[in-house]
Amino acid sequence: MLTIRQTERRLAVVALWGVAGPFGLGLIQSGLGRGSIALGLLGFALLVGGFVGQVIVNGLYGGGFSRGEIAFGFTAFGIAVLGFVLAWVFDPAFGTADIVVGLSGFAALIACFLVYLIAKYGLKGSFSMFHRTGRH
Amino acid sequence: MSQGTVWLLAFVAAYLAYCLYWGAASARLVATANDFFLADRGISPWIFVLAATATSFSGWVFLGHTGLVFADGFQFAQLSLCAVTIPLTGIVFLKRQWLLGRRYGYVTPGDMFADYFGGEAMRLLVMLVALVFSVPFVAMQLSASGRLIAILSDGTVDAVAATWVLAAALFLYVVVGGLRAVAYVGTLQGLLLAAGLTALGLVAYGKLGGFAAFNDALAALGATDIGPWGRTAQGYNGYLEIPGVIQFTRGLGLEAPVGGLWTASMILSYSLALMGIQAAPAFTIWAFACRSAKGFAPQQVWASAAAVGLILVFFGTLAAMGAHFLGASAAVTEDGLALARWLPEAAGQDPANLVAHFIRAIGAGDPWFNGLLAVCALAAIQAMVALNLSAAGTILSRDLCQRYLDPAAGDRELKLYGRISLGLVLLAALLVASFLPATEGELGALALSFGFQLWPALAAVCWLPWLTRQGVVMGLVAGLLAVVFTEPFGQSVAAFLGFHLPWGRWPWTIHSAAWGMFFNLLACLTVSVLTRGGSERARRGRFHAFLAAAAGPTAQQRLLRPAAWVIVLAWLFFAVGPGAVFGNDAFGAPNAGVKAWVLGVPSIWAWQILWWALGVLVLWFLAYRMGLSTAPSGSFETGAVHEPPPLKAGAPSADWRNWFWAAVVALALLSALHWMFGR
Repeated sequence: MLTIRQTERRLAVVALWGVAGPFGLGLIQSGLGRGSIALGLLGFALLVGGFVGQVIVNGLYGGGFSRGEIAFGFTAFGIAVLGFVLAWVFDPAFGTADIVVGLSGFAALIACFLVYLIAKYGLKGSFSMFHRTGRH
Repeated sequence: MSQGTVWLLAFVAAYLAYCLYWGAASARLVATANDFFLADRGISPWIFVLAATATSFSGWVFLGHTGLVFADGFQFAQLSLCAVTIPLTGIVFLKRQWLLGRRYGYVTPGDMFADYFGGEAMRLLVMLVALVFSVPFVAMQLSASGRLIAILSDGTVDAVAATWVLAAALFLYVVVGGLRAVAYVGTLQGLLLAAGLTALGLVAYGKLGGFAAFNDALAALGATDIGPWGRTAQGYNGYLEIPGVIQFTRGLGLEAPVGGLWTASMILSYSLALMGIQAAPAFTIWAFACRSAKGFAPQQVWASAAAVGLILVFFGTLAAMGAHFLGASAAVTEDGLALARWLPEAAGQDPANLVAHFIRAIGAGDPWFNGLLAVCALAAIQAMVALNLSAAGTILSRDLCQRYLDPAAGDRELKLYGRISLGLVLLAALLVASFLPATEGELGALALSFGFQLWPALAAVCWLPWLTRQGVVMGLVAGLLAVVFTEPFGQSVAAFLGFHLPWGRWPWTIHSAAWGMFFNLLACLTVSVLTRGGSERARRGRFHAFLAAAAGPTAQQRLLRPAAWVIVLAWLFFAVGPGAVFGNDAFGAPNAGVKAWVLGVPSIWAWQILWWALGVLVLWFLAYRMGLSTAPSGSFETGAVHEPPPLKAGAPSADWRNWFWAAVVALALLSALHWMFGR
């Protein structure tokens, strides 16, 4: 059973993503649907904001991302990238604005994640972490 | 079923699943009655910040405020400054109530008042205020949620059915998780409230074509007499001017004020009514439930005044006034002033549901947002409903069941009584919402003003030992009666009894909250003077000695006290008091056009922005510099369990005749209410 502190950390994370997630995804969808780069990028900015917010919550509660969160994050990111690539390849209506929004947004998310890793573990430590994880 | 309706149902289902999840998660942490009623006094500061903000502003800001700004223009938008006045009550009372709750182990405001004054009358009166606050207010909010779903689903979902389903989900998470579930769900509700209102404003901004186009349109509107109030006595459009300091009218229903209802005295007195939100019994329970006082100042200064104030002053005004130029106002469109025909004219004919029409228009282009923004509005509504239900359950369980019916009740029984009580309150609210809409409106109008009448009682407990029990009780009774008879409920009761009152609703353009407070203070002060001294004074002094030791001002704060009084009174005078009329043309006449407006926006709007910013500074000064909301620096004894002295006559439940007469009175009251208002 979770302690009250663990419950509150989970609450903070879920509440944060409960707002940043739907609004971010909604704006990305609207941006892609209308070919509006500003709307799409605003959506990605909200997702980046959600990520940064969770890093702050982790810091306040003295922990990192849980395994479930990491798995969920990578799965969601993978599906989104796959969907983007498939749409780019197969959807004839996929325009330049959509490509700009998608590439910029995903690049921003990746950059954000790398900055987090480097800030938390250092340049060498980040690499070693993946290296170790890969070996086991 | 349209795509928008599908998204609506999907988002509502996801939101309800979220609520139920946190209800279940909270239930696992509920062992004792205190866990259920007060979350074991363990609500974290950040949770309090978000949840208390959601419950302070809730659905009436999301739906009601926006609709009224649309209907009455900038004269009502002055009440955006409620983002400052509502937490002002919290600054004055919350920390001291928290200290008393920690020190003496109170669970309900009734416990606190009964212990402080040494009598049961205040416990009973607080119960009455809590019930009047809960049942009709909850009913109003629940029916608003049902109407919202009905409009957004294009009538696919019936309003009454939606009301009952949403209420059932709300009941489930509150009944299993208690106050902890209310607080946990309140965090997301607070964020959704802010995000939803901001989104509405930003969409309006985009549809209007930016600030310049919006201000040009306002300037054109200012040159006309379009609007429900026409021109004011000064000859300006009623949308862009506060119609004087006061108008000595007989009251709504008998005599209409010229140029609009929202005179400066009406704005001030309505602000006082809104200050009743944080004086209501439910907020005392919030204070008792907090783990520390660290959350009070951020909630009051940054979350309420700064964040919600910013949203109301800018985005709320953009959405509400912008709706006139987006097709919602038939007169504006006919005059050729509309910038787009995006909203249906039906939205303008139904200002109470303007936000629903707004969301529907957004959802027509982006169905996803039909669901998401609907959930934002629902979350805002449910935040206050959940808190009031939980508080009503707590108060009825402790102050009625345990005190009068079953004094030997243990944790298990108390939780059961609490759950049954909140279920009954919700059922009563649902029945009122579904079958007695007129009663709902008339009783609901009393709620805020009733809450505000607790100010003198709270002032006595927290600050003023010379206010006596007799004075406070007499004052409260006088105040409640004055409120009743300056609202439609009292008019209906009087008419039913054959008396026709010579005044209407809110005579002299003064809200019932202020009429109530006038008579409340008159009685309270007079009786307190007549009954001062005696052993009760020494009894009350014990509480104030503790408060002085735990939260008394430092030497520097004592020096700043006169400055604090001047700052607060000056702010109240210019922001929501008589001085607000200076804002009508301080930065250019309303009909002079954009070029003559010094700041490029209507003078009254610029005035609101200015005093909102100053209001944040005032609250910061009070909360932090004056230490009214900061955590106490010293330590004090905690952990006491409050055990009220036994009643002299024993538990009334022991005698079956009491039950019989209570049932007769309750049935007679219900029959009378239905007879009078069941139309």
